[in-house]
Amino acid sequence: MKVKEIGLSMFALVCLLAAIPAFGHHGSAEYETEQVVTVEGVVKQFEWTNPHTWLYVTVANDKGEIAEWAGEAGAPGMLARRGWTSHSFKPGDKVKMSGRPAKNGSKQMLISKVQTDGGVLQ
Amino acid sequence: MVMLALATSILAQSSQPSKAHETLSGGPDSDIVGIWMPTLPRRVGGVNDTLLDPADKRTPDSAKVVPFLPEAEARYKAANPLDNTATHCLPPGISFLMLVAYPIAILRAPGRVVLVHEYMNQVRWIYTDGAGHPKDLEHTWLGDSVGKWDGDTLVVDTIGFNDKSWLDLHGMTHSDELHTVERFHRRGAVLEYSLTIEDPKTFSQPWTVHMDYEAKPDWKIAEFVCEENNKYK
Repeated sequence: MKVKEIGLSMFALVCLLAAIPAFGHHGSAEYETEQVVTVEGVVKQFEWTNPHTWLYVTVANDKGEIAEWAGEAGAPGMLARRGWTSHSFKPGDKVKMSGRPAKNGSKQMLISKVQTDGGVLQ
Repeated sequence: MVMLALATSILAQSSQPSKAHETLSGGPDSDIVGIWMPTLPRRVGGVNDTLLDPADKRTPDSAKVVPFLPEAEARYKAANPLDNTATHCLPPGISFLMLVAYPIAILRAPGRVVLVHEYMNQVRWIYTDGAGHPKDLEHTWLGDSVGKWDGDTLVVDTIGFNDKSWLDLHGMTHSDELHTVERFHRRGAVLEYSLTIEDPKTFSQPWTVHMDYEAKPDWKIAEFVCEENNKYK
């Protein structure tokens, strides 16, 4: 039987790998791909866990209203190769967190980078 | 003893060749033992991976590339991405496991090749002792894999899958008649890989995806305990 060959073309990525993301555990279907949101605030909690790492940031707007943003990042093993550690953030740290916002409008994002006084992690 | 042999073989990528290399015509540089990472330009959480991981899986051209049977294509289009087994910390399909952007350690021992995946702590045992597939297979998540050497290329034939996993994250289901053939060939610091997927209940013809891995001799395989903090159960 003839085998349909799919090389390393864009379509090869589209067909199977389109669904095989870097963000491996469940993909990123619940996040917007074309938008980036940035919030500034104070770290409430940092979960250095599998399958994904989570950074919770308390954000205050100009009116003094408080909101909590949840940032989802990759698995610790992969993040560690880019300089992240379990001690990268601690409660009270000031951070600027950027990422793709959730499609459902909740205060959640897929982290692309986090800026701290000590530098940028991404 | 097996574990000792495996531990020895993993050292081969960056140090002296193991005894197993003696069977390779291409010498140590052709040995697939080592730690390998898919080379696709992805970044976790970054925006650069949008082409590879579209939020909207209904990529119109997908059906033109993947030779779905009509019913399988309908299932694919109707599926909810969050229903994939990996979301629930169950094993992913073989294609997803092999191509996801996490490192793989390939180890060799007499009569077998072992793939240790960082992703989900999965392990694949590929038997190269010539015994072939068992006659009465119990169907499992990753199936039964037998390998043979075509020169310096490892050719892996796998059958005996259950029908629970998805071949991707977005609804590419398969039947228990899934049959895959993989080829691993090292060319210097690159591991060339191909995966041919055949399933007469899902696809109208076999189809093949090619992909390269990059050698990462200094990396270690990290722990990945999916159940630890899975918020998508």
